[in-house]
Amino acid sequence: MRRVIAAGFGVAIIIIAAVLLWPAPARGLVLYAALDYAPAIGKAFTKKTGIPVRVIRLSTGALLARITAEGHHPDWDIGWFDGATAAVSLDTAGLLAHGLRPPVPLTATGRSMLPPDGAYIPTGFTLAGVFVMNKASTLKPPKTWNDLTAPLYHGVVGMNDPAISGPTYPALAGMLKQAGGWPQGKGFVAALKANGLQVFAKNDATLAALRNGTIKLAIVQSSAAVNVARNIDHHLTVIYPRPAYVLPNVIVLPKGLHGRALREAKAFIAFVESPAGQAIRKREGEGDSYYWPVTALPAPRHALPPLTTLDLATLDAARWGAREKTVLAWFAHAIDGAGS
Amino acid sequence: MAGLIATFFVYPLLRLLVMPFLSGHGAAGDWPAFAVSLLLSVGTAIVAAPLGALFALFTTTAAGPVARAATLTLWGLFLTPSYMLTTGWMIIFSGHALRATLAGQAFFGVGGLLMLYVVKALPFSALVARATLAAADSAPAEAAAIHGVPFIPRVRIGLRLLAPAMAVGFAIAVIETMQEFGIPATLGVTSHVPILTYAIYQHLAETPTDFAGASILCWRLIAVAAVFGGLAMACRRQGAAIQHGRMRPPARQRPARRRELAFAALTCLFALVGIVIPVAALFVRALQPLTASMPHPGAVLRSLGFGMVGATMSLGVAVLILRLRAAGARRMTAVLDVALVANMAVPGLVLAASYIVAFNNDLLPLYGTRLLLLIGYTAGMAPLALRMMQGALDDLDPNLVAAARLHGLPRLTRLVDIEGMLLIRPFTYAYLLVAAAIMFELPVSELLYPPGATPLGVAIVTLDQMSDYAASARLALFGLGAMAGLALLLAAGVALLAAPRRLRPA
Amino acid sequence: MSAALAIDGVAVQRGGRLVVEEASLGLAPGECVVLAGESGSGKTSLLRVIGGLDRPARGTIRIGGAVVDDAAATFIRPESRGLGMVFQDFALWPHLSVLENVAVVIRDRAGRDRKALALLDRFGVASCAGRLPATLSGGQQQRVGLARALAAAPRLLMLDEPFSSLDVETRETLRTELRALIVESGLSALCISHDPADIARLADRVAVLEDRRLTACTTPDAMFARPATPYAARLAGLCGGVRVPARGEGSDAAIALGSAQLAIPGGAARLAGAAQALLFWPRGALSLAAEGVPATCIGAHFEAGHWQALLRLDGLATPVPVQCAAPPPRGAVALRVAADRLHLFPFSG
Repeated sequence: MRRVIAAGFGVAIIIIAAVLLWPAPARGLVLYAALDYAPAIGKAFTKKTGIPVRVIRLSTGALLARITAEGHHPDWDIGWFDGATAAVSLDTAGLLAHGLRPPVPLTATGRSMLPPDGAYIPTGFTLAGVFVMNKASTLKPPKTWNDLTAPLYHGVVGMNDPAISGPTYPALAGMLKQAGGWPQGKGFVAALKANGLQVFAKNDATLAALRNGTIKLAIVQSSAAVNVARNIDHHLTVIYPRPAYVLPNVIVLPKGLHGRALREAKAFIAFVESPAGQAIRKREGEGDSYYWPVTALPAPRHALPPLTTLDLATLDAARWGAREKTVLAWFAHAIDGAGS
Repeated sequence: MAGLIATFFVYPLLRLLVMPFLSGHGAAGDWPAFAVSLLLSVGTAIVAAPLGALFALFTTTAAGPVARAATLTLWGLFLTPSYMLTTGWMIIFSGHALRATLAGQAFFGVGGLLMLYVVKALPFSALVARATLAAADSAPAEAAAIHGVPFIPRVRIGLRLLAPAMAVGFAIAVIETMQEFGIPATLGVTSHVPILTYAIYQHLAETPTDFAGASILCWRLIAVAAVFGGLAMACRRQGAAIQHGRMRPPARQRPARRRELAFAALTCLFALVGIVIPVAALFVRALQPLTASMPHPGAVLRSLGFGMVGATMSLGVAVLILRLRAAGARRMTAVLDVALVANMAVPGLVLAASYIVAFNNDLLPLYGTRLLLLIGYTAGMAPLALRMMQGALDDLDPNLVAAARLHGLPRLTRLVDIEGMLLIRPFTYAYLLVAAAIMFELPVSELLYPPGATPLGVAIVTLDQMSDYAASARLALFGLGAMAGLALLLAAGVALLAAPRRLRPA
Repeated sequence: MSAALAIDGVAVQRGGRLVVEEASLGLAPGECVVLAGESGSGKTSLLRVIGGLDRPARGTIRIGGAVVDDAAATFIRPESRGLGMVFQDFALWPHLSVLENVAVVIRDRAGRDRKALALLDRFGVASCAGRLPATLSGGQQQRVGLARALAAAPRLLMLDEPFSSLDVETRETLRTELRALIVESGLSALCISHDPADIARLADRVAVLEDRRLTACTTPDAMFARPATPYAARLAGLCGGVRVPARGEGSDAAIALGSAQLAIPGGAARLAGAAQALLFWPRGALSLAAEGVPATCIGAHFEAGHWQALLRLDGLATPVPVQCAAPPPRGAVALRVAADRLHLFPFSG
């Protein structure tokens, strides 16, 4: 009896270990994605082409950290996330394949996002930082970034932590740029801090703080803002600041990808940019579906204002990507005091 | 065994720690994180050490329900994962009304950190002080009572006896607080206070990864642990000088009413702050209506699986090491003792960081695999497993094993029916403790988890960062439930195994 | 027929220190040898080496004629040596019932329980079969221990101070039972003890381990008649151990016992020039008489059926016990000494 139980325990452990450690099948593509419609795209791509795609969802920050940590031994075939500046950081670290060309014609905005060395392909864009407020709030809605330094916004403004939330660094970069660039723009952000700026981990946390009244104005990514105002809390409204900084979502491939894997990855990019792919992206995602396309059609989801009504600005991804570490270090030290 | 230690402990650590010297640059600006962490650790220890020593004295000398409740509370505080404790309190202070109050402001600053650190450090200090006091003699205190020594000198005698226990508790509290990662990881940026372990994590999360910067911080962390670890060992030796031959452990007595009331109040306070309130908060938040998707659905089972397999491996390694030691390999014993002391100074965070550096190459491309995560868990938990099994094996009468060999019992019978059954209870206890530690583990999980296979601790902290406390609370409670289920299953198994065969009627 | 046990030139180390040097001992089939020695003399270490739980530093060990350990390449594991062992602290497996403790040792699974029960019945503890060892008395536990040792059908039975944890009554009973068992079954047995009663009741021969060496290996009566060392004299049941001044006179030795000078025939060789000697004597060699060595009686006690008077003699630090028929009066008495029955051992201080 004892031996039966002991053997049973041993067998159970072996089975559990086997289940845990069983290697995933090597065939097909591994996609690290920070966009919520990625699993649907992966399934549809497999259905269309027969190429298996293993979709691994990570937050942008975790995805970038993981790609960096894997270094020159990547376990991924395709990376898909928000932020051209982040892609430039990866490229500076020598981790990305070069010479990628868009498989379909892009709009002018889309073409402006292309890097000279072809290290990434833009697949759409959102806006790095927009304002979200309660419709019933007595607070006067701000129009520009500088408005936020007014005493009337003291202690009621919140934003994400760029060290944790991947898409927030471009928002910070945008704030600095419109205030004179780097390092001149530091003064503006310091003024925000002096005016009681609160920092939360990510989009969801900042929006939760807005909804429970901790802050009255949230600066978050446009996709998260529109999603919460449209689908979760109809008391909220989105205000597009002047200027609003473009935040591309991009696809990257690891350096050294070749042969069949490279062909299959390129086929995936083509699917993503195709009308069928974009239709799935609009339909199957949550917040991330609220993006503006960089290809000729189709139209963005209803909730998004036409681009002509917005004051768009772009960031020089190469320059701001190169100084990301310095900016983040300064922000952490000067603004929220956590870490270095 | 030496090869395993070299591959999975010595080599990765050396590789990480040597980086600042190779790359030439470092984290010169990280001194605030180090200084604040050290100050907080010392501050925590100043509170936790005397309280821990007093709790230790009370729980080892007092009889009655309050003493039992105090012991249970200490174990509850010890076993509760720190990030769950933090999540519970964050749920309470996430409401706007409370957040705006003085308490709310304090919670998201130094005050909250200190409170959480003290709650987590107290059981460590108390348990270590208990071990020191267990070897102490009651005769000097009894002599003081019998000879009618006045109160203040009697307190001084008592303090003199308690001093080694307090000193060891102080050193341990500093080390544990310096190495604590769950609390700062959960509070993250909202606490506005720079913390060393969180700074290490941030260096590793940067693009490009700043290994040299992380390494310098690891050096500082290890240095502090080494200094206070040495202090702890010296205090233990000093404590031994007070003991003498013919010692009697103190007999348990029902304490005086005032003393019992005081400890009842303290126990209630810590039970409330450290267990009841945060767990209640988790329960209440978890009961909110389910959202459309349940994030990280597999995290609980996955981490439970890792816990079970990791505990098996850790205890297996521990038993192997102890057998080697018993076989009298002196050099091996010396190597192991050094490795164990080193492991105390090197927290899981640093070990995991070293694995990222060491196993991301062509020869050993293990980074990003579940295997490396499992190895990281095992390497991190092996010393705990070793300490627990050492105690069990020390208590085992060697003649029982000798009798089995001399009477020609087959090897399998000896292993299962004799040695196995003799050790089944302490083994099961150690197994559950290690499995729970792995299941709820955070730093190694955070750094080594394969993408797409999020461990429980990482999932909870990630949900906290999104302020999705309902999902986080649910995961936490499911995790606790799963571990409780495992404990019940194993307890039933042990009861079945340990029951002697009944004599069938002729 | 080959010896049940033969150890030849065996040396045993413990903690880097030599605890047994050059021990040689043989055990004939059916013989019971008691290995005696003071605490820490190396008895248990020697037993562990015979059992295969440790290895000797030098020498050869044979069981049933076969080499089981030659301190080199040859080593037969304990479980294959055909041994049975009874322990001082019983060493019953606490989680197994009494029946399981005995049954698990029986190799042949067929009818295991029946055979175990029969053995337990032989030792009078069959009624405890379903109980756990912790619920039994010390005597009962040791009986179970004996049953277990026999259940292994051993070629050699080893006993490590088997009765020292038991009360006097149980000791006496078990000693008698064990002796009967050994004699009737023809089992060879090696028993460790420092209790003279064990030697008297169990031993066919006595081996004495002193100062890391086996100083004697003889029958109890031979040891009684000619003890090799003071310790052997004590074990054999001789009285005394009194320190007296002594000197050699030709081939004889002269000792000062109180105010009297006594000649010990042939004692000079034994004395080997020492100025002091330890004196031992069998009961009756010293007795109270009308005339003899002057002494003072300071008290008396009754022990094992006899009165023992305690006498003070001039020049002797310790009082001398003397057997007598009736309790003597306190005060001056005379001591008669049969000098030819005294045993003398040199004492170097």
